[in-house]
Amino acid sequence: MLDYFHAVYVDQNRCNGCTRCLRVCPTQAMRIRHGKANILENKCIDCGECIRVCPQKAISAKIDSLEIISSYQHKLLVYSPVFFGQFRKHDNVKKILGIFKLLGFDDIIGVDTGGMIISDIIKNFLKDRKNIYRPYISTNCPAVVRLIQVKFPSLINHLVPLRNLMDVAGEYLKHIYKEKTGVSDDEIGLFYLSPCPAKVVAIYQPEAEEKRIFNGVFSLGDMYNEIRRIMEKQDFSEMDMEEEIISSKFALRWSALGDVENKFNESVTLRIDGIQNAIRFLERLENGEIKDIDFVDMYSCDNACVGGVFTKEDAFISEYRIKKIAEGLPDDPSLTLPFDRDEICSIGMPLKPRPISPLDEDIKEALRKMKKIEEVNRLLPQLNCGMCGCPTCYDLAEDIIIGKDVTVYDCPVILKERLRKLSKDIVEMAGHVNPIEDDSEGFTPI
Amino acid sequence: MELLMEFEIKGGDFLNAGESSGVIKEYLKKIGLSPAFIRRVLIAAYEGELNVVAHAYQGTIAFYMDETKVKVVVRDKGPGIPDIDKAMEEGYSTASPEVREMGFGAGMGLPNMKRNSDEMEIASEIDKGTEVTMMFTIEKG
Repeated sequence: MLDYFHAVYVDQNRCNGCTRCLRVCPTQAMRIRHGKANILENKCIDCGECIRVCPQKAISAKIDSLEIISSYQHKLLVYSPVFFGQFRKHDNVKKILGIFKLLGFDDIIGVDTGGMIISDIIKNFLKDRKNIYRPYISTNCPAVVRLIQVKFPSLINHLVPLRNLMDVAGEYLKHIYKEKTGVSDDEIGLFYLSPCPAKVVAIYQPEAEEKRIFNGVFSLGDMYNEIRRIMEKQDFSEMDMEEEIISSKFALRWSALGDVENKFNESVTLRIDGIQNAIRFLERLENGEIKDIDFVDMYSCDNACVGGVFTKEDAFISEYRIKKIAEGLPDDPSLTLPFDRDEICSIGMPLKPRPISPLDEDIKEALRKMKKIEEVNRLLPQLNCGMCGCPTCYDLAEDIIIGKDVTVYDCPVILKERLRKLSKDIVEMAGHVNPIEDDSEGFTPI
Repeated sequence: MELLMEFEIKGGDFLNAGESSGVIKEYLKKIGLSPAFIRRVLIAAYEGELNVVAHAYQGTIAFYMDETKVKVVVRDKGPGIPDIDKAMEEGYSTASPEVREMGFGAGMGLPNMKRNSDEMEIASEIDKGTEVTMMFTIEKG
């Protein structure tokens, strides 16, 4: 099996086994063992829902620290515009870009620039009736891509076979920077400022690329801290450090809010946000119930990327600020590209499913195991309380049969029933008087 | 072949149509059959379920399986099909124009079931009911 990179991990020293993560994990990838949460690597999609709910702050995401940029001569940054939504003075975006430069970045663009480049290509792709796997689902949210690969492998052809905005923006920035300066690839460090752990994974292990596009990735939350610290120390009001922003009303709203309808309104387009909403829709799509929809821009987080796990600000406030910034942007400026648009929008290789391994390679054996799982499951109380360390009773039954280190006595209800029965038997047995005993004192059961 | 699951289907209950097919789908996923195969069974079972909901008073959907085959049997108590050959034609529908205008009753139910299964048999008796048996051969590898 391939090694899957995961950004989300559990700090075993902090975890107290409280089962909160168990309950929210949309792919049932969490197990509590020996009082600590463990992530099943083949099921985790790095959506980060567990990070949000962990009361101990024991779950976090692997991420690079800002220092790594010093090992590159030329430093380029692609930021998620969600970053602007974190600041009260959101109208000052040009200043924020200026501070990025202060941190050492030579050139900076937003993911929204990627949206300006690829939107027409997607539009034409949707118009072409030869493309039959409708509705197409956008690849912008890497957690959605993984959700489909892992839980809905039969829907893999529904993913738009094009790059996501982040990769398009990255390729574009690299191209224009090289054109401008004449430097070579290995002198450039390309970095991403991410609102979520799913994008961290997409950077370290891109699903549809032969090699990585970005050299590193920072957390939007960490960067928020960094910039707030700088802002506290320095007065920027007099400094001339404004940077131009290459964006449009539509591109900014698309890349931060998943707001697509205006652009693709010649096709039937939906925006779906929230991992549970996404799962419900994909179930229906898999059942063949979804008809007449051409395109779904789907996001794992509530409110799309403004609701990202790494964000500080309330998603609704952030959304308001992004909309305000968008108002000040041009409608649809033409972006002259010194290279072939299709080339930087095409994926390196087709997306492949990665279904969870079957119960057994042999169908007969798998059927036998399935039957046993159902037998065990029928014994269980169906409370799905998580006290056995599995998210549901069914998961416990499955873990028992596939030979994980668990038994039905990990279920507190079963254990207590068994103990009650046992103690009754003990009392009964103790009350029985053997012929050789002197029973004149009698015995009173408790 | 062993009966693994059987579900009741209520005629006219469009709200819950498709639930049984969803359970069958999850079962096949766990067994680890190919996505393409699961999709065929799922579409056929779903259309079968929907037929009962749309045309019959009540019915059942039964799911059988061994290591080589899957069998889905949809039985109903209902009006029966007067002309099976006609019902098998794509686009043939008994739905009223009004219903068709609303996007239902496109006359693709039985043809879709036939197309997605490897063998299909229909037995029907007027005013009694219909029984559709669909077989799917599991591809090796």
